[in-house]
Amino acid sequence: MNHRIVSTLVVIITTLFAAAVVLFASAAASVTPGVGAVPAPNNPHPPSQHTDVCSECHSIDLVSIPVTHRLFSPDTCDSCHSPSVRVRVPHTIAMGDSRCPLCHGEPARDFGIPASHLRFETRECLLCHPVDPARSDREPPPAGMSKSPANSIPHPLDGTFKDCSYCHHVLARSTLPENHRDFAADTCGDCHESVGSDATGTE
Amino acid sequence: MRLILRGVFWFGLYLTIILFPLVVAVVFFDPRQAAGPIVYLSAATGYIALVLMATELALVSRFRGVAGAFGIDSLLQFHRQIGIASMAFAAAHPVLLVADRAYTMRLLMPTATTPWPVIAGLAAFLMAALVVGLSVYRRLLRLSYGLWHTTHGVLSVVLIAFAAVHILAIGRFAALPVMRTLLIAYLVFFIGMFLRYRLVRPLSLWSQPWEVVENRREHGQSHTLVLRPVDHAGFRFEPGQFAWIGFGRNPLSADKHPISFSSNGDIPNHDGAIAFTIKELGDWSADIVPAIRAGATAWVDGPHGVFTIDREEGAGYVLIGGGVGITPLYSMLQAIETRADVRPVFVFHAANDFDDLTFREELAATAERMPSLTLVSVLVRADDAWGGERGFVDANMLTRYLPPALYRHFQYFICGPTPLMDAMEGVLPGIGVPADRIHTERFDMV
Repeated sequence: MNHRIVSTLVVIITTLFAAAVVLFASAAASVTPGVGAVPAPNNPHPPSQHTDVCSECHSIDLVSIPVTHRLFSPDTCDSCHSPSVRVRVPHTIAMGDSRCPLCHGEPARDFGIPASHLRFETRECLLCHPVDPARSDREPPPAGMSKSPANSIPHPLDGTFKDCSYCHHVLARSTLPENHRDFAADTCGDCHESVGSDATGTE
Repeated sequence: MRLILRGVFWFGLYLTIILFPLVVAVVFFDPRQAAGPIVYLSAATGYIALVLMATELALVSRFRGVAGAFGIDSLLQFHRQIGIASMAFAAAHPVLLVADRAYTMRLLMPTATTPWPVIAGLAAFLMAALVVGLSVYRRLLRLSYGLWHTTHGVLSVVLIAFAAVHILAIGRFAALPVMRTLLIAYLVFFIGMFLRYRLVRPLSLWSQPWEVVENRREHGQSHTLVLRPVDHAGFRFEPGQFAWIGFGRNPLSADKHPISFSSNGDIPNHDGAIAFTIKELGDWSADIVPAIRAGATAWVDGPHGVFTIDREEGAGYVLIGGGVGITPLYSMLQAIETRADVRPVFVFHAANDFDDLTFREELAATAERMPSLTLVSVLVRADDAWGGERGFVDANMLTRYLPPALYRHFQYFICGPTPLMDAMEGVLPGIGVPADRIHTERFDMV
């Protein structure tokens, strides 16, 4: 057979295989729940919870190890799963360790608790997140939950609107975000500035 | 047309064998193995690399059905190029895993705690790189053919075993029982074919030894070895075919080389003697062959090849040979003369200089006896007394000799060094010769 025909055939076959690889990946992704591009999750446990071998707690039977890992030796977990770099609390915890969700409660918000942490008890936060000694006396910023400024008040603050609690109930049937319910009604203006064009004052 | 259909059949079977498990993997996919699209890409490239490498074993196992459709030199060329392509797929496999961030670069740098299936994969990749590297750079590394052939076979089987262990142990898609079964069946089949070629077939030659009856020096630093069968009938061959020959203590020796017959396979009732003409080109042909004496035992695995006039129909033949590439063409010419075939034959015999014109006396004598033969000798370097053509065979030279009304209907057989082959594969279509009438045999196939 002609040498050039063979070379052409090899190029065609290689291209076909490359196309088949892409087609396979697309097909597999379409028939299976996609999990996206994720790194091997880090080991989230604090040293106090470490055991000698991961398999004391994790096993395929409990679905806490993927089936694909079944032939890996139990002492090789840290080949892929590095210890987590723990986030340290950059402010005082004078409010106590049970009140973290007051500011960090909304998972979707900046500095909110990650969705993967919702299984932990509130009192467990400090097990993994110790206070940064250099900042242990620092007060958290107001409302302490967002990199972005608190929402502005979109209406004037006189007359009927002078009393926030008139509309934004702080008790039952509150219209405030859940994590605001511990704030006193007269402290709204500490964070929320009015930018209404005809605003005449603050609360 | 029948040959084309056979080619299409084998080509289709090749694609099906390789791609079928990917279809099975999607159909029977276990959601617990779910990952990102790039991980799927990576798994597929790794799988393609493994199966391509496994099928490489079958491509070189001299399976007659496949060799008959494509020719062994084409299969070896395909084997070489697909081998390099499979390395590209193998390299893409870990790169995609790291690109996906499913794993870190640490996975590629093994330590004592690296999982053993990963180590197996790394070992397979390194061995594959070694196999390809030694093949591509064999001559540069001055590696003898025999040593390369042995290491090539052993490393290939070991690398496929490592890769199989890797893929079965990691088990994303191979965790499916149907996929595991399919993969294991593939590997057993392909390694079985390879062992049949490397062990069973050589052992079958044990009862069919040949004896060297003459080692004759030829022009162009070549030697003609005449072999006679010992206690068996030998075989017939089609003019232009070749056989693997070796002179080891037993037929299991890896030091066998593909050499074209230079004798006439058509002589009836002869004593079974066959002849090979070998140029001093490499370590074996320059050191071993010239030292072979009459009485030595030879092992012959053949005949092989589809580079033969017996499988092509045409209004005439054009035989273009460079240097010792004239060997299979001379075999064809002898058969054409024996058969009293009156169709026109044009032989373009090219060489660097007059001393390189192997079989020049024999060809001249044949031209005297055959009115249908036109012999054109072409030298790159010639003294003033030279009466033949000078330079290289090109379109101008061909069209000066070939009959304008007929040459597109002739069959073209070309054998010689790579530059001549490459040039003819460009020149002949350029003057209107259909591609399916151009047949080549590269004697530096391994």
